[in-house]
Amino acid sequence: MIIVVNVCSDGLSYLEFVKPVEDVLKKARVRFVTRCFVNLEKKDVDMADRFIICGTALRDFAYLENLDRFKWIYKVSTPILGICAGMQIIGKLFGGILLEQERIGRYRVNIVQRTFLSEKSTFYSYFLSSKALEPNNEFETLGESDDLKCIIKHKHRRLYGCLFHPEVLNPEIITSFSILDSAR
Amino acid sequence: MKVGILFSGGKDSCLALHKSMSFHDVVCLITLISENNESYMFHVPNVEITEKQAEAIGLPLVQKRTRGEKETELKDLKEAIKTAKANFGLEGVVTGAVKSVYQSVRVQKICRQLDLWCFNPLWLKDEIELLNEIVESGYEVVIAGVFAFPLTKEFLGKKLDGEMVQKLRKLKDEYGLSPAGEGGEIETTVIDAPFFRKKIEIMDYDVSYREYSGVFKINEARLIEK
Repeated sequence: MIIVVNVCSDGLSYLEFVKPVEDVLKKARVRFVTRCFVNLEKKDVDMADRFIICGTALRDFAYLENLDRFKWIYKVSTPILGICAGMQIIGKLFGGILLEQERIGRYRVNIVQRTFLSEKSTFYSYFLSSKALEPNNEFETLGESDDLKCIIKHKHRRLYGCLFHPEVLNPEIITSFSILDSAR
Repeated sequence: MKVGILFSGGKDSCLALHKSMSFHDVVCLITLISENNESYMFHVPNVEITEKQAEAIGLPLVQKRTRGEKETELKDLKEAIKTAKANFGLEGVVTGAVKSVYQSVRVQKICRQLDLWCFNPLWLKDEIELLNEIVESGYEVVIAGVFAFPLTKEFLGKKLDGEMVQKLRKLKDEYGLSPAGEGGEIETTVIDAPFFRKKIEIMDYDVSYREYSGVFKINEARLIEK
């Protein structure tokens, strides 16, 4: 069971940033439940075999003001995919730095290290972000867009981050993550 | 939050407005009237009827004309949103964007420049799901424009109902047509919706059509009690 984590502080943003991810999972016939990050309970965390932390609106930074709510990430060994805000959360929890760097639109992503996330070496993705992440050295960069680190992975844990929104132009990234062997 | 809706008078902007009402204080509608039939951003048949729609809904309308040239129309949109922000204390803008990255990116950037929230509540919504929601919610929608093969003249002026959704679904399966017209293949005009206080009655219209491209032009309309 996947837990889709909603970090939107505004109900209308759920339709824009969470429902499209849910629709990708539904289409792939993957079981999931969605939880708002403020309501995520220990029993939810315990039952999940992976997590997807979705993005939110450009002006929404409630997730950064409530990073304590994401400390469960330290404790789980199951795979986690952070999308945009989700990547920022993962990176920040592990000591990364957020930089003011806007990227809005369709940009080319170059894969610098192949993983199950994408079979392509280069593709276009949809970005909607006002902050870039400079992760610490516990993370490796899997994909770049110009000088921007836009796909990262923790070196020793199954924590992945996409700065772009794969649900828009690259739903296969979400599908690939959703069928990743959680016991590996 | 006080929000304004980018409003073309078609089904998508009306559904976006409808959804916004559950979460925010909708304070105005914002409409750009493009003089350019090829405009990527704002070309909609019957856009002049937004005045009647605004009256039917009971919301003020911020309307701005644009020549519809690629960059100036964005400046005009920004000016219209700026006016709405100044006049109505706007804190956010809502669009009916479903699939167009081109449109959504441009509105996102304008909102960011103006320190406004931007919401796209229909973003990536399944098109058949969208059409069914419109029909099941009791909207009265007419097809106001067709711009793609194999859409014939017979579609123009027809109501969007369950039968029409099935027809469009079939054309999607057979020809790959976007059933909700998200690539500009179909344009619609909403004449009634659950949040309309009055409905629109079409008094006079013209139909023009040539080679899979045509418009149902409303010449005269009035508001009537529901």
